[in-house]
Amino acid sequence: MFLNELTKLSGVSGCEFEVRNYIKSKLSEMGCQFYVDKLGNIIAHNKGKKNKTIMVSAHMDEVGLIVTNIDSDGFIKFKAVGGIDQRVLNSKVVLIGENNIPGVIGSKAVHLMTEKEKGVSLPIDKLYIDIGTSTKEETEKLVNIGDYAAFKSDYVEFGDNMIKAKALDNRVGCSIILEILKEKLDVDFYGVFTVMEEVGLRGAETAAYQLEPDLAIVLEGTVCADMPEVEEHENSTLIGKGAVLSLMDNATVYDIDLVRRVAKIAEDNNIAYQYRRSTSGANDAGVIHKTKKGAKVVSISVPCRYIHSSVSVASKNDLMSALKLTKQVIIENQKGE
Amino acid sequence: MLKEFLFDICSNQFVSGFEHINGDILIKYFKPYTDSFEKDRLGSYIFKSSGSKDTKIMLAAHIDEIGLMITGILDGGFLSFITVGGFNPASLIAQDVTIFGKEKIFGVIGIKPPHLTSEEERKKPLKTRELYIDTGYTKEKLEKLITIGDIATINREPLSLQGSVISAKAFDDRACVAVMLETAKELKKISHKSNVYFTATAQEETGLRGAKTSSYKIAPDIGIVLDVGFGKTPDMPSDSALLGKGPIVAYGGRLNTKLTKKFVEICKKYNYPMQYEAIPVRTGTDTDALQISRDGIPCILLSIPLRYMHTSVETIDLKDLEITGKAIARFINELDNSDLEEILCF
Repeated sequence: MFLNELTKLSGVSGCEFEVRNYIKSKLSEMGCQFYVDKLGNIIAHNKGKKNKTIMVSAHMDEVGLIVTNIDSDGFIKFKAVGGIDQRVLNSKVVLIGENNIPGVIGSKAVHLMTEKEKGVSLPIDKLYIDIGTSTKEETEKLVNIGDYAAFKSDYVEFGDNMIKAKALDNRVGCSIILEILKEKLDVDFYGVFTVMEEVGLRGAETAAYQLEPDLAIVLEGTVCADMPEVEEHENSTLIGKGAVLSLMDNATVYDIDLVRRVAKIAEDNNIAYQYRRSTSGANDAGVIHKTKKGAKVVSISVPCRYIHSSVSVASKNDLMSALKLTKQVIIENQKGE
Repeated sequence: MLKEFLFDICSNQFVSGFEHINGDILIKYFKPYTDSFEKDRLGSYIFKSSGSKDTKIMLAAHIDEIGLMITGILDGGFLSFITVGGFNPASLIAQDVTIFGKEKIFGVIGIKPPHLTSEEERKKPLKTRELYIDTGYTKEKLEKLITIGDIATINREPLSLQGSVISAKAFDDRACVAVMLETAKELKKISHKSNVYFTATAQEETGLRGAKTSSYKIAPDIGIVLDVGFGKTPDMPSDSALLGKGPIVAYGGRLNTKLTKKFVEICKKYNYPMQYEAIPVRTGTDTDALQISRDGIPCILLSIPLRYMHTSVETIDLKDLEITGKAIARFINELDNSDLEEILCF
């Protein structure tokens, strides 16, 4: 499995080089043809039987932080890169810059808080990273304004076939593409690893422009909120209940015939699937389906609890379902209509 | 060596009331520098280094840490919990934890993702009872592994930051247990005449309980209480204590003024850096229990500056531990050659 290694890498949007280098080395090992485009997307080509151009894409980037200032005592101020809930930053370890300098985001001692302050998560502009230095000069030797910071969080397998890691959104997608490329199937498709999805679907736009796909399969780690404190109608997806098919989100109304055909493929092949019962969020499909004259797009996702935090959780069973379904959709589509 | 001790001990749980489970780790580290060992009935660990005089000096640093206790096993493999000791619920969000059930169970405390929450919801204060631990098991399986009353702690691998600054959970107050270890080591070198009791007290976080029983058992002539203090961060007053500048010496009614002054005098004589604080009423440390134990124990209180107290990223400077440990050894050595009765007499 590539996922374990993929989730150990830092790849905050705009700074995906660790992930890109890892994927490039894996593609080279497999002997898969690829190139890196002007934005930093990796476009890999699996050559085989072809009757249409298929693009299978997943974004390499993850949400994280960017250094905005260093104060006189050496503490580091930052902004969020992508959608980060201020509440998940309290008491965390982060790695900063290309040298992965460790730092902590703390919070005031509970003893010094008023009743009103307890339980309240401070806005990001009130937080700072501590790397153990005591002056601005000391910090400046190690960290620069503009450096990216990513969560430090181990990959852990736990419970019944569950995984906890950071950046499961969207290293799950990256790992699925790598797994399928590794199989060297006799079907033609492009495996695309995009940059900067979390900050506005930037990489997917130029990648799709280059490939002009007839069909794009967008792989994602998606919102799953099936916890006790959430009402059932707000769950969006359920963990362990299979690959997720999107119907509509903030950027795409998915081609309903295509969605139903993919659902039929899942049923015919005994692959667990579910519909995404929420319109919140968006993914690379939003720009891919509008490229040039337009493209048919389907989104296949893995449910991720606590997405966009350092402790996202996914089920290995769902990952397998998404992998099998993606592969089957590619195969069926290259057979011809 | 202090770092090795701390990283080892902070990788184990000592939740208040459950200190006995891993307490024997302490024996391994203290045994080479002390002569005997006993426990009080609450689970405090007392290591004695014998001297030729009758004087008894008690050092106290609490070994317990704040933690979580399981209160319910819910559908979908979730657990409800309460806190043991004082947590800011905000510091529990997006943490992974270990539940000490029939076996160690991994769990995650997560919250609803930003995609499904409003700006308003994110600003709302969160209560512990609104949080759950996700174990990834079914309820049926979980019921076989976990019993109500089991404890849990946040997982945090101790981390080296720049220089001698380190970060982990439970440096409150194991940083000071490390100080005691440093003192024990140092006293072995410079010798002492008093009987010195290195006491890793139990249940400080839930109400200074081990300090009460262990000090009763020891019946010391004086107490040197060690705890952590608030280190300066951007959201703290500008006169807060700094990391790396030595222990914070406390003045106030809970402390014996003459003994405190003696400590300060000796630190100055031997060039150990210090910082000061004035605490008018309760100190919130074992001092509050020690002072009124038996017929009263004159105490001094030294605090190690620490940032982000009661979070899983408590941050300290190892330099402060060494300075404090050595200063205390020197203090004991000088007391041995002074008239303690005169110092303590009003």
